[in-house]
Amino acid sequence: MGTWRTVASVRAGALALGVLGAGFGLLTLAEARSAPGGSFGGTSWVGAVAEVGAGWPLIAAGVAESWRRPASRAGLLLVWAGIGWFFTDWNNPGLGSPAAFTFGLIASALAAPLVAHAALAYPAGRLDSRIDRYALVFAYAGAGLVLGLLPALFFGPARQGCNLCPANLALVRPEPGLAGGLLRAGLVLGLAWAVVLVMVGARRLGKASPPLRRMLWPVLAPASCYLVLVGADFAHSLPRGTLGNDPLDYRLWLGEAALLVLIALGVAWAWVRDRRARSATVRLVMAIAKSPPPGGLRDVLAEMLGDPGLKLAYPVGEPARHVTADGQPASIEPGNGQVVTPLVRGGRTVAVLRHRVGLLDDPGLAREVAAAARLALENERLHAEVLAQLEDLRAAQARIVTAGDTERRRLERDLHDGAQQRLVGLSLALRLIAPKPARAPRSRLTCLIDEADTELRLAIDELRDLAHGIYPAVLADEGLAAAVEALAENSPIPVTVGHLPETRFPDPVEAAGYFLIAEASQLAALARANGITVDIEPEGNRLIMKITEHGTARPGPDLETGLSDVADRVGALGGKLCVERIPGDATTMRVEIPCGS
Amino acid sequence: MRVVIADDAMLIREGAARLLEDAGVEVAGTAGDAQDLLRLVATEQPDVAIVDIRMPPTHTDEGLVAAEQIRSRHPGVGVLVLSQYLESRYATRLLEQHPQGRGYLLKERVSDIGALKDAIARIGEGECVLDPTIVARLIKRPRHRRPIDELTDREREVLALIAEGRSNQGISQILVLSPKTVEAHVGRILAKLGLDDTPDYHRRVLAVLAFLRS
Repeated sequence: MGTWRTVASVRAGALALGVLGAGFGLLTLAEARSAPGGSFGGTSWVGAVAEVGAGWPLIAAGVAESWRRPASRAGLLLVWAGIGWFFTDWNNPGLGSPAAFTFGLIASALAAPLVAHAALAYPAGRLDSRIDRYALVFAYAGAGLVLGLLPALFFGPARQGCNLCPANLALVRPEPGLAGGLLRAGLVLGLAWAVVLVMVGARRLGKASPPLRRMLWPVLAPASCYLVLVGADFAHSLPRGTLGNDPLDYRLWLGEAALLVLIALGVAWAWVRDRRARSATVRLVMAIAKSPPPGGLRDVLAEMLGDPGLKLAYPVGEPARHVTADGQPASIEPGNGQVVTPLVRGGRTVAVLRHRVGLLDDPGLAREVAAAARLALENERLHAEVLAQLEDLRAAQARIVTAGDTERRRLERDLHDGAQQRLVGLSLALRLIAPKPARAPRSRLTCLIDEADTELRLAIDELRDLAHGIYPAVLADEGLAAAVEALAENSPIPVTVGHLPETRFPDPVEAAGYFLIAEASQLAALARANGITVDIEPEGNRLIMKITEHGTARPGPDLETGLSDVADRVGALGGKLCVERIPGDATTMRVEIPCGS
Repeated sequence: MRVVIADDAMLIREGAARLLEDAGVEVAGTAGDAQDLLRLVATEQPDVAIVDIRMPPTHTDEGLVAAEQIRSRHPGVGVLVLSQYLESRYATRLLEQHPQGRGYLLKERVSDIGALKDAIARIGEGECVLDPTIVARLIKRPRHRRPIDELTDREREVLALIAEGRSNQGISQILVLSPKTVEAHVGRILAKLGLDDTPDYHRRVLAVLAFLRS
């Protein structure tokens, strides 16, 4: 589907061509009435009615079809078929103008290929098979060249015994024999291409799927009958050697006019059927879309439109990106055989559908679906927007936590490898400058050095504790289990370690788990608990941690408040934390952290 | 005694070398990273290699990895790991792979020449050495079920020395007790903790450590 601009320009083009075509029909009728002897339409009011009454409906049907399906060229082809119908009546020696007469000589036989083209390309506006294309090229060449341009080059009206005729502007050299021979050949060929086109049409009908066939036959059947009449007229003209307008020609022409009206009606019939099917779809969408489950609108639309792979996405944010109903990023790049249709309400794209080609060719249907499901769409879009924003926030939070952890690890390394090393080096240096105890008895200097060394050792101890608190090296090097063991070694209250998986998890998950347990053990110590029990177990792609505080009976919210900082870490990873009081002086905290796939 | 020293900090490496030499220990060479250390050990065949746990390139546990490599290539060479970490996990990693002639001391002991020399000597004799600070922390650790509480003060002292890797003889020297008394203490302690009395010194150290860490 093109943009809105191309849709509008296709419609405007079809309308302009249609108006010109209709005017051309009136001009044709006027010309015919000015020289009724050589015309079909100028002879009587019946002829006049047949002239415009066959061309105009076809043109109107074409314009309307373009309006409904701007993506398809079928409408334009129908308009051209209607215009082509008027060409027939310009083959009239009584026309006063040489230009009009010459136009008639060349173009009068083109109606049949144009009508056949419109019928064979209906409804997609494309020819499906190579055979269809070859047959049409054959017909256009036969009608436009062998029956049209080539004999016109050699047709000298005076030499041909037509004294009434105006001058032939296309004349190269009057060759009555050659012109007559070409015309005769053109008629024989015409008989052939008429038959071929009928067969090609029948083949198309036979190969179409049942739903397509129901749409095709109201157009293809009258088109085939029309071609049969065209062929019959060629056969009738063969003894005469030229196309004419004797009473039989006239009757065949009337028949052709009636069949063209039937083609126009066939096109219109498809609209009626379409509209019925469409309003049924829209009604169903409406009924179900009133209260779909969250994310359920896609399923409803997929079912209604018969495309299981249909994707519904909502544009959110600035610059716009697309998310699904649950706020997850969605790609709407169309794959093979897929197109993307925006659902627009009030000039704003509320959602986009990625679907099979041909499902929503009619922009009206997309509009009606958008209208029918507007409440559900709006709801789901808002829901998706909120979820997407939440997801953005969570991702930002996770980035902040990760950045913080990276910084903590860097600090820890700097302390260990920088400051601590220096202090140890300093302590060594002090030992080296101290006098050997054997040589000098304890002097004031030795005492000072000993004091300094004691201070240094305290500094080293404190630095070690500080580094450990910032980010324990054992957590980075050996993982969560090792870090929890180390925590248990150094905790002021007993930490009982239950199940502890030795496997490694993503760094942020391990850090969140560790800091949570560390914080919980500190809080438990402050609350004078008897101890805590820690159980860690991977379950599917989540890490489940259970921390039980024994011997305190404080309400859950207390603990939750105390843990809010580390709980944020868990939240940043999309995890959950819940605190639960167990009868008998214990509080359990259950934590779930997703660890990716 | 011949030792080699590996530490990426030059000040510590060279300072320790001088301090040890002053104390009568032969320093056969120094290295700045694990690869240099392995080369040095191969050429010098020292009695003990003194190794920093954090060395380039990752500054995590290169020292422990090097200890493992020394064990497989030069089984007769003892390894003393100097570490910034107080966690018993790293020490257990070192001792569990091969307790004989392995030691784990906190980094700052490097300037305590008495402790350092003692540790080197014990490692040279095939004992294992664990830093007293780490052991003290393990013994002080709060517990629910506390068989340790049933130990007398003296027994607790003995337990700490066992965990530090001392032999019965070493314990009797430190506490100035007769070997018979020490043996009796050890037997009672192991019984109270529910550990099997094993004559194998290394297994005894590991069993006590495992008990203290659990």
